Amino acid sequence: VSAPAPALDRAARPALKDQVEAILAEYLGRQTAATAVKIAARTWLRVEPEALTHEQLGRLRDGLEPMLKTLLGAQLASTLLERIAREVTR
Amino acid sequence: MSRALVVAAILAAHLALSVWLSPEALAGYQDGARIAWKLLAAIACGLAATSLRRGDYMRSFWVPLGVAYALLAAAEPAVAGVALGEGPVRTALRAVCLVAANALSVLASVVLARACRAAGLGLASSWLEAVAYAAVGALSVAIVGPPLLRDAIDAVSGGGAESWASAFAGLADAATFVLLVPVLRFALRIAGGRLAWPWWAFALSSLAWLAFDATELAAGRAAFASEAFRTAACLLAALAAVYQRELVASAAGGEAAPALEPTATPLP
Repeated sequence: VSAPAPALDRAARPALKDQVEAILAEYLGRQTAATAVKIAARTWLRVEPEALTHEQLGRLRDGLEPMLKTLLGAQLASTLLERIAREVTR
Repeated sequence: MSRALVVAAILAAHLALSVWLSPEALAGYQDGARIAWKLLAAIACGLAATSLRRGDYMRSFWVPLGVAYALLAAAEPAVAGVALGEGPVRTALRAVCLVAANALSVLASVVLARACRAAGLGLASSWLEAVAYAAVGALSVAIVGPPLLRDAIDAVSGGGAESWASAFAGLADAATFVLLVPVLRFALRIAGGRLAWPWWAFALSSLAWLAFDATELAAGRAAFASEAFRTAACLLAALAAVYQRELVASAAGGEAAPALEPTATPLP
């Protein structure tokens, strides 16, 4: 069985921004999750959330960390960031 | 949600018992219950604080709130009377406890109101926010103003430490109610997330204290409503703390299913 064509594979997966937002929304609600991703992407990576790539995920997590630590505490923030690293796929 | 139902059931049972008891037994029961609810809130806030790590921002909300409730319990006449007997020392220490408790509750409200900005998620100002501040400010003045004025006049005309403490409590209540605007605004923004539960429970607790202050305007004619709102305020603060603890505990055990896992798409 041959591997799926890259373009088709990408089309089947939600955008990286949507995957990160979905994980954060469980704790922060949809609206604040979207705001957090937008601020982290613009401030730390100078890109719009829609343009985020998997290679930028580490920097995005760095940008999200202070927000999550403030609102949720260090332990829960760390768990969520680990989930993002583990579950967000290309 | 089940936690909220437990709180509602405890409140209903307390009020039913208050109606059922004879007037002689009622005074002693309510004295004890007031101490118990405040201690419950203090212990719950302490547990919420210990669920967070040292240096976590939200710890600086739960610690002062918990200490405030502990001081309010200590300032109850039944506690202060047993511990210190009657006299000027008791009056002065009660006043110190009340002032410190109110100052700490304002500090906690400031910390919570600033949380959104501290997280870097500052919300843009809007005309709706300005209207909300004006409305809550006016409501605070209407509810807290008359007793504050009375206490201030008593204090400057030699009413003693208790009058000063009551006047300060009025100012602190007004500040706490105004600080509810940013708290409620952010609570609306996080609606649907687990973080919203402690925020909403705390906001409802503050609203219950506002309603309690409003019943005080009736000067004894609304004693039942007054008891209901005071109890609700303490129980909701404890509920907020329980939600906070569960929120942090979810980090250890609440591994959800992978988010937005894509479904297989058949190739043509």
